[in-house]
Amino acid sequence: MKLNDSALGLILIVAAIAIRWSATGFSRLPNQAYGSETMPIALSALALGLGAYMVGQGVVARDGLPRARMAEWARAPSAVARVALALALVAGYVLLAGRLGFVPVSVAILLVLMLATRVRWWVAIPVAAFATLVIQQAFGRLLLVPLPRSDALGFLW
Amino acid sequence: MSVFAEALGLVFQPFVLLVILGSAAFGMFVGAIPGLTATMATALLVPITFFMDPVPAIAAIVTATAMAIFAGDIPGALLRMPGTPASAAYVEDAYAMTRAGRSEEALGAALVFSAIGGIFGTIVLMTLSPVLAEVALKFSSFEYFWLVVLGLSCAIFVSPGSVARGLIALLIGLFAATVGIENPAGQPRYTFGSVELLAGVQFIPAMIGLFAVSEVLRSLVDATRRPAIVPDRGSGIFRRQWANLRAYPWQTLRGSALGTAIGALPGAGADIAAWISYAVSKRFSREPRKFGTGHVEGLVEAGASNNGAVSGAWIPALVFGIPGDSITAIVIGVLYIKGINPGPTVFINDPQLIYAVFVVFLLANVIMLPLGWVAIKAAGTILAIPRNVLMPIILMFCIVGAFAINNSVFGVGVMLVFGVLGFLMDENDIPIAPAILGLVLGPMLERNFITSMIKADGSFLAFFERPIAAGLGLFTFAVWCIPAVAWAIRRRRDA
Repeated sequence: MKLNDSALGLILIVAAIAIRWSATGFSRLPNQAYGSETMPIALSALALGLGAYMVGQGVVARDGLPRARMAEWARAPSAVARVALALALVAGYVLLAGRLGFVPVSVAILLVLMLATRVRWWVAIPVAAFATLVIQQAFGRLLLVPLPRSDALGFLW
Repeated sequence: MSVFAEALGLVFQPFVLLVILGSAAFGMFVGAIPGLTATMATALLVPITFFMDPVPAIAAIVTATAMAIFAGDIPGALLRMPGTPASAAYVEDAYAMTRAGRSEEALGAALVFSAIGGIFGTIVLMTLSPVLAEVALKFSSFEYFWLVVLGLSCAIFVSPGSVARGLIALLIGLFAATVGIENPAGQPRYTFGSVELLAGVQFIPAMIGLFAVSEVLRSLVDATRRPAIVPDRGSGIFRRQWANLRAYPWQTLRGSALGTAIGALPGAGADIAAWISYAVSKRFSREPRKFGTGHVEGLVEAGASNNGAVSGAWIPALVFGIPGDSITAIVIGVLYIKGINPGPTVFINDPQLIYAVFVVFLLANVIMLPLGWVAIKAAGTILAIPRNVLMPIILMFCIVGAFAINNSVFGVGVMLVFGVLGFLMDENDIPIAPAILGLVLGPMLERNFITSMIKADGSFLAFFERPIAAGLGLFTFAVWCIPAVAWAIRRRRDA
């Protein structure tokens, strides 16, 4: 999604109002005029000024561009699907790595992503397995990062 | 025997040299992985140093740190994924050089000028520590406030694209920095009941998301849309560096000196130094339009500044026992464990040990050249790997790197959110780097602003009452005004 100056300016103005409103819930230091609210208020003022400037710039420029338009790549469903798949795989790691362990989840992420980008399966399978092993040994054993373990593959640690 | 000769005897022992070599390789490995930091390398070395004498213990940490900081440039130059916020200052130039088939020249410049900056900083450390430390201690919240504002302003003005979009990026970073409990009143802000968010947005997972994950997502959009990675066309790691040194001697000296001076300020560090040096380089360059397009000049100056600041951070640490950053804080702890109390007395009680530390600094920066050469050659093979095989592996490194910061999947979630944000920012030509600097420096800006306002009883004039603060304040205003004045002059000339 590509936004022009006016659209970005409008978003900034809305964000500025939201931040300013949220800052009313923050308190000051005892007997002082400053506190947790100071920085959000300052940022909302800056965002408001910048937003107004950008809306003005957009009006003056009158470039004829729509306020928001789809990027060229977003018209290809396969490209959108690949991006969505990558995001879903990372979210899947967050949800599943603790239960299934690092090794199977990592192999699955690498394999699915490589196959989605047209890597041949006979290349993708060994690369996914080898890369996972290298990452597990480097982080899990050498750097002592407690990567989630799976019972069946506990011998790797 | 003189103290210096005694120090040389302590360092040039087979065991110490072996420790230096091993920790250099370790630092290079840790620094080259996006998400793993020099601080993490230092922290991992501490338990090992318990079993060592003071000199090899300090040698291990100093060498690993210097290597890790340089190695942060490797993923930055090859993949546009800077290893440290300081590397982000010149990542566009380094990556543009890689795309032009000059990756070895870019990394060679980062390596050679980092070493020069580091050696310069060490010489200053050896000769001028007490004087610089005295000046650094005169910095109060007013001076720090202006220094942070100057660093943030430089980040906006050196970013590609319009100033307005640079400001949007900065606002995003500063807003992310307001999350958590670390604020003057200690009140949770924008945590939405999350315990993890009380500690704020961790900048390493955010940085991995903004730079690395967004780059992976862009590569998935369409391999043909992004410029292909071009393997090096024989530009050579060291071949062009002598010519670069002859072309930019003043820039090298200025970057090294500025980096060392800023590094000597406790809490300032290499992040601000590299950005200010890059901006200074662009401001005084004869070819400012070439910056950001693969021009080596900014890389030379900011690279020297980066490692100069690393050496400079040891000045308050050794002279007063005040840590300038997290690494020197860890080292001060190690020194105490070894029975060496950092501070003025260490120069009287254990001068040979302090000189040994200085020698280790010099050695670490010299050994960085051959080891860096090996690392660059090894990393260059990355460019030969097809992009559709490489990017999934990088995504996996990013996940593990974000996880390793707190050993929690929360870091992976932060990385994911900032990855999407970085992707959208790039789509709309909003530069990413100012957001990172805003996130890193936001808490420092807020703390120093509010402390200053309370001290000054709400008077803005107090920000100009102290000489150093006034100088920094006026310089910051000049940075803000110069582009507007130049634009007005150009417009009048054209009319």
